Amino acid sequence: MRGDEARPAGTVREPPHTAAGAVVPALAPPENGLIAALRRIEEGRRTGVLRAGDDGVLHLTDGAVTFAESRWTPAPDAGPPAPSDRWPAPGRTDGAPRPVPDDPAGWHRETRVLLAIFDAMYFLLDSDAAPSFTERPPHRPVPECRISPTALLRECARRRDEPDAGWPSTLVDRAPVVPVRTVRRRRIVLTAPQIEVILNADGRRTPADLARDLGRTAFGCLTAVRALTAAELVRPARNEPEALPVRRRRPPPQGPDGDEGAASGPWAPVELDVLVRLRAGLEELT
Amino acid sequence: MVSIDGCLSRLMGVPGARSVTLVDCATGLCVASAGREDVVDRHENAAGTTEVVRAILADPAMSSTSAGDDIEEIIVCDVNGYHLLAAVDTSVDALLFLHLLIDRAQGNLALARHRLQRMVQEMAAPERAR
Repeated sequence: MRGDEARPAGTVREPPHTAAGAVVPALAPPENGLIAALRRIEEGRRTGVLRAGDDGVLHLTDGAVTFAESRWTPAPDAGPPAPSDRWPAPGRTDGAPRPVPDDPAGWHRETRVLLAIFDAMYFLLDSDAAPSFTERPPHRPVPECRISPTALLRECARRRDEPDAGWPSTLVDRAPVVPVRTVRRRRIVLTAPQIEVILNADGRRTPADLARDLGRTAFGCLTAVRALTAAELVRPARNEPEALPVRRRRPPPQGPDGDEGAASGPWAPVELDVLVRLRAGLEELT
Repeated sequence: MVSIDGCLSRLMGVPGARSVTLVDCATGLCVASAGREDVVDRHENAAGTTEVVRAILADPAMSSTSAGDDIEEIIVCDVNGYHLLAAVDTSVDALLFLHLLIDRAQGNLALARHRLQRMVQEMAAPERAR
């Protein structure tokens, strides 16, 4: 029995390099205000909300990130699809009954929040908004997970090291995924996330839109789009931003308490969304 | 309530278990880990595991039928240990894999596979089955 080596629930996930006293490698993204602010909060073990303008928020407890939202990534509170929407899990053929779980909802929720935090943080590093920190009591008494900012920034640096294959992360919500008309290769093998993206790519939706509609992480969708671009099934996005000069704005993400108050202007964001899609669609016709 | 760490510490109870990691294959993220990290750290482990799984999923040679089998489990046999990579089918919309490393001298491959598959089934059960 080696269970004594297992990490107890609720501990901060520390990166092993720092635990071993080794030097943390230099981070790939340039040191921006958000990273500096996050480092200060981690050192001071402070509790509150770090807001990056309208781009997103990070909730921290004792210097550890417990919740994150960004305007690029799907909200972690989005529930799972209804069970009837999914194929049944493969049953045992020997007739043995399926074991009854204690409560899978616990780890499902934990995993969803964890993936959403890393997903939001990756894109928040592209934000040029000035970060502002507000001391506040923890937004949730028992958070699903606690991630140290050092571990979070390390993982974001690793993700940034991956080749972008014509799809820079700054275009994740700006350039639509446009499938090619003719395929030049005779045989292409795709993974399930790549198939989901190519089946749903309509020349209008961006990787961020697809992630929201498919219930995937934005980074996962971006990775799939990059692989599809490398396989020459999707057009590279490098020259697309000129086609979409209007940067789409979702309303600033609210904390899960929703106590920030609505701050939408006279133009509802959904109308802007429709206009941009309409324009992209019209340009597709010409 | 079962937490991720609860699931992993139960897998660490498998005879000969050296380490266990839960990996998100869409992003290469180490969701959680338990056990020792003396060979590679868990972030490198997750990134490397993702490469292996992606390579096998993308290779038509790694299929038993012409229509293309689904990959359930990948087993790599070292001289000193077994690496078990098992897909976790969940209501969480992510492609998750469990990576269990078993010591060859102290562990038993069949037993480890059995315990790992049982855990995968428990984790995959829909939330309403409570």
